[in-house]
Amino acid sequence: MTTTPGLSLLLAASEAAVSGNSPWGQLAQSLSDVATIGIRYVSLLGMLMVSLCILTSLYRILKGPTLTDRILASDALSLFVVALVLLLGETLQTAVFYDAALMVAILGFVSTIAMSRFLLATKTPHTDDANQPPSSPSKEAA
Amino acid sequence: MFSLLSNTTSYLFTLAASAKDTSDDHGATAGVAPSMFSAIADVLSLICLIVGLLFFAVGAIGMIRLPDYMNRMHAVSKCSTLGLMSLLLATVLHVESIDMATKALLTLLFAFVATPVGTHVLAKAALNAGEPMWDGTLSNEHED
Repeated sequence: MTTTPGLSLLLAASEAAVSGNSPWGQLAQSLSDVATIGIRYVSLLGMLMVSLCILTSLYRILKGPTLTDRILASDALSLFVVALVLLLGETLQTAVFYDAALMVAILGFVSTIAMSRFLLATKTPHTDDANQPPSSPSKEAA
Repeated sequence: MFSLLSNTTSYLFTLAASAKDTSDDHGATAGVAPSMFSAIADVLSLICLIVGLLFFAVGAIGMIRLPDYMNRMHAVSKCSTLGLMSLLLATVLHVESIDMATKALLTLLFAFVATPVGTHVLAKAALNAGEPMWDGTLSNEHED
């Protein structure tokens, strides 16, 4: 990695401060160990959590009273899948997952634009009493 | 079904515990000990990872519970964009080689630009379609 002279001076200073059995060196070693183990387990638990978020977006795709809700939920789904692929790359320590994340992000963005263009071209304002959103508490109290 | 889930989870845990760190010079810029610089970078990447996952959780909860389409768009666009950018920042800070960090940085820049543009086009399409709004909406600047 090519460094500018200023950055190399900074790195040399940090190396001089951290050497062998000095307390800064031990602190750096322990911080690095904690961070490495923590990243691996946090990314594993994060994968479980992002799977639950994918289930919530599937719920919105099924339940969403209008078409626009479903398009929004599919956009959110593609972003959750990108997060899932990134966390998988952090867990398995493989380099190829970051390319896959970029591909999924690009495909998700293009599909959202395509569905929005379809919606823009076909849908017209309508008054449909069956699909009203739930009323606010202030209106109900009045 | 439950045994399948538990088997998968236990397999993933053993995989995470035994995954070999493929970087040969972990945390070191010159020598074998990790410098303070890279230790701070690792801790920052852990913090960014946790913050990004919290953003995703809040966005998903907002997508279920908010009453209107426009409110849900707020939750999804902001929380998903920020969560994804935090996750990618954690990746940029954590990986050791410069090529993987550049790839993650390019993905970060693309997500920063593309995700709000996508939700903006979706919002314009929804306004054009005349979606019914929540009763508690205070002002609708597009009515005329």
